[in-house]
Amino acid sequence: MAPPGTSSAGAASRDENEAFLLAGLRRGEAAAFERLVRDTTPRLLAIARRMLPNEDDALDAVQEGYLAAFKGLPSFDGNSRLSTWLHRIVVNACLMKLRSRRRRPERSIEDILPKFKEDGHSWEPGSAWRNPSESLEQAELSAKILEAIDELPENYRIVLVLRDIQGLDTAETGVIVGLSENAVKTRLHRARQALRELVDGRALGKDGGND
Amino acid sequence: MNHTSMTCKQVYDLVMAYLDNELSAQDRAEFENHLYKCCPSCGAYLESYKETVRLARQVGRSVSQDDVPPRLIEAILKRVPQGDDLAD
Repeated sequence: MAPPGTSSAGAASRDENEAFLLAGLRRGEAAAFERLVRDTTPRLLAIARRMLPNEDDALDAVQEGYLAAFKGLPSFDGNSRLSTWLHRIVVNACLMKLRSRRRRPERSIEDILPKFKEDGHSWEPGSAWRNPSESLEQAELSAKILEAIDELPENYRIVLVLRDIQGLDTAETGVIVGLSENAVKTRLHRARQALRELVDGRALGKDGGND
Repeated sequence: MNHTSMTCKQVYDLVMAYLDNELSAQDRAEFENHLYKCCPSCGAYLESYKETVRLARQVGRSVSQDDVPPRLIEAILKRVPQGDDLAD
């Protein structure tokens, strides 16, 4: 199966390719299913791995998501992109698994966010944030960033993963997590603020944080 | 530190909207006045916020290349619906 219209770039071409793929799926073509699975599994698994600490759980969630998608394909209405719909199903599979296996209470986002005095000004004017990339090697830095992302409360982590890790846009993220675009923006901003606190080189402890 | 009418908390709350060019002209002017004329620590906050986003995106580029175990693909493809399974 060859995708049509490779001459035009951008959204129109992407939509055309997706319509072609969807038609193949609806006809039950094995090649269409294989293309869908091979093209989308890496991103879906990356999301599942960020949402679920256990590798087997992540693999199970992706597999369960595809099975649910295959089952739901006849009723897919095409109002969202096929990949967005698949993301939503896999994210829901992850959330169900996460909620059934939660071992420890989550930290409140308010506990992580910056604090202010009653007049709205900063408690610590001039306090320096230590860029963790100044003291950590790349592999260690990536591990620390991922650990910090894993510490975010689930509702914030998923938005940050979809927007900043997966690079999805605000509208698509909203469809996947069932939020308005404004709510996605608010959560993303707070997630980034919390992540900033968690990746502060002073807190990561490599060099003691003495300025 | 000489604060304007915009507080540090308001500045922190508006950082993303500022970076996304979503502030009104007046809010943008007040935001920049606070940062660049009154409160260097908020200026530093803006830079550290941008750096945090950069680091997250950098990690994103590496994890998007994560290995997919072949057994996962095989397990999914074994469950691809056949013929009548796709009927409405």
